[in-house]
Amino acid sequence: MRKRTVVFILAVIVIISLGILSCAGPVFNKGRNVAADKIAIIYVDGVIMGGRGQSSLLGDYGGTDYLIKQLHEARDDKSVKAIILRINSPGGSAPASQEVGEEIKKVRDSGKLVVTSMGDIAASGGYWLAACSDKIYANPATLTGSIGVYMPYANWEELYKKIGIRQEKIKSGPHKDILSPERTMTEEERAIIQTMVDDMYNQFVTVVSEGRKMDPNRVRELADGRIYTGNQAKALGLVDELGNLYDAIDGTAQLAGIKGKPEIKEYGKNSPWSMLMGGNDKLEILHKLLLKPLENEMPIAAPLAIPEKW
Amino acid sequence: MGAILEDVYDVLFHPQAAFGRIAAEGKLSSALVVFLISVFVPMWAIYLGLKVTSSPHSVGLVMLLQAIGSVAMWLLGTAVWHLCAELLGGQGSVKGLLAALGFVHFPRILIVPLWVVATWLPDAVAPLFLAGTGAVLAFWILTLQVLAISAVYEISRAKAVLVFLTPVLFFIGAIVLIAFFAGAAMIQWPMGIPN
Repeated sequence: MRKRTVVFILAVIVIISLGILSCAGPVFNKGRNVAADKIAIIYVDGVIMGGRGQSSLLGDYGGTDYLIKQLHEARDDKSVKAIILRINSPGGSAPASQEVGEEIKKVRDSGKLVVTSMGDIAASGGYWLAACSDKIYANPATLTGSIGVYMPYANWEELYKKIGIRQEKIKSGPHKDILSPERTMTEEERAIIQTMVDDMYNQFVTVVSEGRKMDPNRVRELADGRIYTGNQAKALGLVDELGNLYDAIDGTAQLAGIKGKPEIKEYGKNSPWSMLMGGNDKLEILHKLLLKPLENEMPIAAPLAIPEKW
Repeated sequence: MGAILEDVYDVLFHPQAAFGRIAAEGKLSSALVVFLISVFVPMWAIYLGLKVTSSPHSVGLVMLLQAIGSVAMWLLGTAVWHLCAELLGGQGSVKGLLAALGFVHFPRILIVPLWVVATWLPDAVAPLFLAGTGAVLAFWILTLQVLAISAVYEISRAKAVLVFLTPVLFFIGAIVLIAFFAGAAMIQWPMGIPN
């Protein structure tokens, strides 16, 4: 009988506890940070290139598709009140930068704040993204600016002659092999490419002008392709505040009206599993260094928004 | 009903003898009732506790993992530990072990009052309190599992610990081997630099 009484009392305690939890649960959580306002941090690392980047069993890494996916996730997460773009990039292809830039604008249109925190470098395409955000933080020594576009072109004609290679082509049109490395570019072709580069440069200038609320002519003065330090960029109005990532977090929390310490949600962090299953940049770099030292990998015909040397 | 209450009391306070009796009598239906209560009551409490602090996705995930994990541990655990116990010289029935292991999860229901206590504690202390008491409960349940194996197969507690740990050690060994071979297969070793 004593055994039954003890277990019965235990059962009563459990039932009462369940009742308390179900009826008065929210009362107990009144004083707690029930659904903490979050700030999402999305990392933009390395060269900005379109596409899916590297794919692995656990998802995609690098490439603007992955970046845009992260922006969408942050936009759709109701607990995320603001997004910080942590940019550590020398730039990349102009179309890829534009694609992400437009997505940043859409996220802002959805009512979420987007703030940029620049790391070592946020130049050219990296600055394109930054210009699309609400506020830009940079370190005093951050390398930024490099507003401009160029198209890389290598002329290997002399080398080909020396080694006895003469490439023959059957073309559907006179400009189909434009930018071919085995011959000198014609004046007409140069003019065509220049028009394209100018058009993209104008688009870049418009983005900066609108994003920074600056006169386009003033932007053109600054956008001769040169790199600025964070300090210089602040003085020129290309950056809003000087500070590191944590300054950006504090500033963003203030702007978003988050009381107290905001909860940080980081996107795109490498987990031990992802390191094991793929998407490992370091292995890829090692592979390229050791196995492909003499290969010419410049299949890019896209205009680049990237400093020529970085 | 009264018998179940007495069995539960014995499992909590005199486990070795209780498991021996439960296994011998093959109280499978009682074990099933106690197991379901032990799993679903704390799950309900966790749901109530988490639904106001987390997103619905995480609550659903926690509930699903809890349910699947518990059932898998009960059924698969019984099968695997029975095999290990027999291989290590134990004599007992798988039905008896299944019945005994059905009772071992009962201390889980203490999570419910502990959760209520945690809600009254300061924010800084509550997670520590829950982690600490959770660890104690987990240790209690593990101890009951060892005692159940010991009682059902009439083996020493040391041997029962070995039976209990054998699948875990085997699993860790398999993971290490898989990671080793998978890592070796995935890494592209440099084969030399072309001249």
